[in-house]
Amino acid sequence: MVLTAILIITSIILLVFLESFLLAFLNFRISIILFLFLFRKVEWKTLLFPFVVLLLIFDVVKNFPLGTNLLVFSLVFGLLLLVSLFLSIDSGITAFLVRVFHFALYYVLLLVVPSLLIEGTFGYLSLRDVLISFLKGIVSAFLLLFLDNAYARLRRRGSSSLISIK
Amino acid sequence: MKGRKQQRKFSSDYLILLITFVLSILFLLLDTIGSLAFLRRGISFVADPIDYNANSLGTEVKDFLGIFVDLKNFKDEYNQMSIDIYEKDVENSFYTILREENDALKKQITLGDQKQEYVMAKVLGDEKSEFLRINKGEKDGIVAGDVVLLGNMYVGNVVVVDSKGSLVRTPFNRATSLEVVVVSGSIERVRTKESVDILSKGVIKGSSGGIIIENMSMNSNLTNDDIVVVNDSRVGEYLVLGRLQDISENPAATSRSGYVEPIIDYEKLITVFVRVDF
Repeated sequence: MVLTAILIITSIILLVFLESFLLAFLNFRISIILFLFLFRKVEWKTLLFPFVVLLLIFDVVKNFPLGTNLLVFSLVFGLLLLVSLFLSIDSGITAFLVRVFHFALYYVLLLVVPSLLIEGTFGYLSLRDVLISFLKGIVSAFLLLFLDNAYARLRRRGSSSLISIK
Repeated sequence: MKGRKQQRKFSSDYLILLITFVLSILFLLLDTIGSLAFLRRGISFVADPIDYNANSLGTEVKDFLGIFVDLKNFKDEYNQMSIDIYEKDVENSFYTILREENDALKKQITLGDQKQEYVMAKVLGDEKSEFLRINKGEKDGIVAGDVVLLGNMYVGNVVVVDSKGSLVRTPFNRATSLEVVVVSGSIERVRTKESVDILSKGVIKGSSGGIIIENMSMNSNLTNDDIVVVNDSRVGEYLVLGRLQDISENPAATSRSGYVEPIIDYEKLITVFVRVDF
């Protein structure tokens, strides 16, 4: 239990560092990719608590009202669940496109929602911002695909050493 | 069994959505009324240094890699700066020539004979210092034999004239032979002909070793750096040629000889004046 707590705290600190570093370097967010990668792979309760803490930390360091990142995440996640009722979000080209759209929407909402909550008006959103958001969405979707494939390959390699008894 | 698992997975998904949405609204409401200030301060205390360091590192890496991205811009900027420098050099050369011309005109007005008429010309090139090519010719009223000078200093004589240019023979040329006088005193006094002591007469000739002066009197009290002034009917007025150097000291000789070091640096000569109405 103590070890798990230490692991979670260390992971949160590392993720804060990595997210801030990537935001400054490439204006790119890694936490959402990591969440979707771990989603349905890790027990939801284990995943949710550190993720909520992480999003609250991002609110504080970026001087957003507490809950802003969480709200954006829940909106995008809700939309993802809604789409999953009609389309597959696990595999295939449609899943990839849904993920691209999902990530792009996440970046677009991050541009307008904080401004809406702080000043009461939507922030300025140009076509260039939307295009860049879509570009980041494509990169994020590819990264998620790569992580999923790496994970699947790792699992296959792990199970190949086992003797199956039918 | 599988269906039940699937149902549980979906229900946990919606639970995540519900919890995050409710929590976000709750946090937003509580933060608006300032109830979460303690939480904000606590998180800020721990996370701000991490964020600051990561942000600085990210910015540094971005700036460093940005150099490679901007290499083309740097190259373009370098090329533009090179062009600017060349343009400045050209402009500077223009002003340098203008200044030299101004100095030459000043010299001409101060030291030259104001009663004469002159044509200002530019030196285009020289051939082993024996000849100078100038950019004024027949169209400007120059004829063969005209004297080329700068202020009160002798430069040479025009020997060949075409419509737009002329060839000037300098004292270094082997064909040059002029009568001169050696005087003591300053160049300015020579020009105004004020109480200069004529030490000796002589003749100058051009040679590969320099300008030779011969036939100077054995009895004259000549010293190095005495001034050699052209005093020839083909030149028509007293014009300074240079300073006396390397005077011969042979007591058995009937006359003394030496070399003349010209006052004018022929290699750097740009502007000269041709006397046209003599």
